[in-house]
Amino acid sequence: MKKPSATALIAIALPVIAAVAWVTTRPAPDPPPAADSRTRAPMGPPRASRPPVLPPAPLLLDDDGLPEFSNYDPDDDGYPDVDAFIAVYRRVQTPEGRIDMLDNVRTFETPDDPELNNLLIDEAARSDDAGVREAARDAMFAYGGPQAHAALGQYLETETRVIDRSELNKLLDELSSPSLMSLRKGLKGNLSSPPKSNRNPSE
Amino acid sequence: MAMPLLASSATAAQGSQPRNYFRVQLKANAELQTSFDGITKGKLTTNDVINGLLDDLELIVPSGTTAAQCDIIACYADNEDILDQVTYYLVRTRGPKDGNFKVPINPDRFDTDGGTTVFNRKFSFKSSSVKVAFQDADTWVGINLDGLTVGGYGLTKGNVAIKGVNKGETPRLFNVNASLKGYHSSMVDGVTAVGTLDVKFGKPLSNSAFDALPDILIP
Repeated sequence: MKKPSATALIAIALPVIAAVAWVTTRPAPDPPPAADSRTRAPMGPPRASRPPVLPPAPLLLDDDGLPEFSNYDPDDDGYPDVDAFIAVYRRVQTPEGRIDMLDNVRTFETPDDPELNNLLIDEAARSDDAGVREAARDAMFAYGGPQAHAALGQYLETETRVIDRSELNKLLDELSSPSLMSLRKGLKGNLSSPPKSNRNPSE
Repeated sequence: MAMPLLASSATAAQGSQPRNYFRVQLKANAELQTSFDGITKGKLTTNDVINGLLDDLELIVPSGTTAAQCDIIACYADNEDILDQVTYYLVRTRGPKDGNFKVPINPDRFDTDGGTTVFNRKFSFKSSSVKVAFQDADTWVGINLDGLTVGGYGLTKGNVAIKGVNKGETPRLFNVNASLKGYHSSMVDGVTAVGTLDVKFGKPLSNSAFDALPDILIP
């Protein structure tokens, strides 16, 4: 039997870390509103002069009930808008819809955004749905940049009780791995070309 | 034997139209022995693969096209119970509409193949869902991008979830969510690596949306 790879170990370890994070960092319930409104600071202009608060536009859903991409691409340039993405994500309640959106993190022009990173970390650690947690981790692993990885490292080190330090180090090491494509470019010229066929030679 | 990756039960949702087009996502992690005592880790994402394909097609796709605007689409014709033909397309469906396209992917670049497939079907009408699990004992998934080779072999896991089935109705393929996971060997310019390869067949692209995309023909 093959020895599990480091990636497999990490895949096992992260949910444990995430579960620990969930237990140890779950926020306390919001405090109840102040009973005496006289003590509150004024909140903006009088009601009569405020612009009316419009309800958000209804979400466009496809045949499967998943949110259409156009919901979070308001300028129709092919790339999601971070604020719109997060706002739509908060409105989508089904795991399928959220997983579909997390799969679409790869469609951001520059996915390494602090607000998006916070969403991914939060979902990877605290979502009630295992599929959502996995999709958030995958998005973070595959498409998170240096900021995302630094934020995740900081989160794990400061907000969770890390049981196995070596597993955390492995995870952070994994996040910093380059893509095979960039590796290929780095190696090219030093090595011979591979065979055209992918077939297992033992076949 | 050709590629039997996915199963469906007769027709699919979307009225009476079968669904033929599904988005493919890829994820690979590999450790490469780069010298006698050195190991380098690498990872491959869907966007990496698409970037490689765009490099191939640089002269014939609209300039400025990015990986984030594109998807890899697996095309299963006719929705047979056991699908033995699959072709892959690179499509652009996001961004300015006049830049959209579909173009077949050279099989040398993105190839799947398989062997014996066993389907275990469980029908559960009370929960209005049908789950089809399959084991594929001899599946091969290969991605070859001009010197980068990532291959999977002996991958054995997959699921097809069928939802929205009511009692007395013919089960319909409503959504495919199949993934193949396993160890793989890969080659980066002749260097063998080991790691994991995860290929997920996910959200469908509607037949009408696919058909409406302008064709790009490879000269």
